[in-house]
Amino acid sequence: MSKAIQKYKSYGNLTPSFDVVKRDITDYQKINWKEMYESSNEKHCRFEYGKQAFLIAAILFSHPDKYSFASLNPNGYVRVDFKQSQIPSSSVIPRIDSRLFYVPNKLDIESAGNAKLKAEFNKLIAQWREETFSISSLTKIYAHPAYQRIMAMGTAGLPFVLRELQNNQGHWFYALKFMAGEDGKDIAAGLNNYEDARAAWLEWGYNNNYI
Amino acid sequence: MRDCSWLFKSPGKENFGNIRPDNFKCCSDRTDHLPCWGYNCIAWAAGKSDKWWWPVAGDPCAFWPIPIEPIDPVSLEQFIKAFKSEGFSVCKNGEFENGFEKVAIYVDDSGEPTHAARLLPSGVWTSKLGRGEDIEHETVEVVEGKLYGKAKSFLKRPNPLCQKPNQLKTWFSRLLEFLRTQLKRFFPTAKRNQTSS
Repeated sequence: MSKAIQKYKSYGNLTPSFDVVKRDITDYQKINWKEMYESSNEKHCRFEYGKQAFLIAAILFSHPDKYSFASLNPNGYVRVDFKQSQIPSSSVIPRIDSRLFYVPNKLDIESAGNAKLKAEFNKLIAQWREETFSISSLTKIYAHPAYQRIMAMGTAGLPFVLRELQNNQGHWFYALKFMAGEDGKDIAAGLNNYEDARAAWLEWGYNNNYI
Repeated sequence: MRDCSWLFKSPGKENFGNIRPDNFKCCSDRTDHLPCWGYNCIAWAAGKSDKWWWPVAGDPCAFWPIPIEPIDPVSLEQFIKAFKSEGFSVCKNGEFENGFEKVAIYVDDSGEPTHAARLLPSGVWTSKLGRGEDIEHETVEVVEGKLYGKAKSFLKRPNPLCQKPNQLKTWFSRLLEFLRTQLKRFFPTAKRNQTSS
């Protein structure tokens, strides 16, 4: 795993959409944070959450010596502490004066342009339920193309899967483990009881602002 | 909801080509509303109805009676070992044997287990269809097809309840069933009139 990925994942709460992650990792070595910020406005404006996370990540990656600290507050704001005399001009980052960047709650992804993702999720889950109804094999149930597609949504799909776990029954622990990546690999480790595992995942989702 | 009509609609229809209305009976409600969907055919074949049996390591929704490693492949041998841990031993076929209950393990074209059914003391087989209903079917072949493949291995364990049904008793109950059907056919309103009077 490259340094860029590791560093990015260390800001787990900020993980944006796939497009952004991909671009970020690719361009990490040659980053021009100003250019990236501007291009993110153009190309990733559909993903409000991703756009903001991209911005923060871009700043941290490109100028680790200038900015010492970033944190996500429970109210959905990211605080970035700048070192003295390194504050960029407000013409580049309009809201820099406040030193706070708003990161919408992850549930906002639906209203902020991810209605399409939700529609796709609903369609996939209906297809998966119907086509695996009489199957006993978890191997086949988890390998079903619709389930695999949901897993491939990654963190962007977590709010939908967690809500599904919250409202309905189903085999979601396998998908959750992969969707949450490093952050979620140990959430239900060692738990053999459905209710305990469900409670652990929902608590994690709540703490990480997914539900 | 006890309704097996889905077996005659798509995609059930294509998957269960041998099922006909006269060779099976719908015996339970579906279980998809339960946590982890309740239980599956493997658990049901082993006589259990509280867990979903499948060899997946580290999944709180999956139970397996013997220890497994994440790298263990899903194989017929693994299923045979699991049933052996429940007191079963491999046998030649699915024919009724006095004093024994039997299970059939089904595999698909690639040899991977897909389903299991259990032979009841009455001489018919019982299967749990995924998260759907339990059904009773006349032969192992009834649920064979595109989805479950073919019954490949048979196992048995002692069960004193499994005694060959008395032939005379069987014929008598069949005659009784026939008479009941005919009565319903010729006097369809008899029950309703009786109730209203």
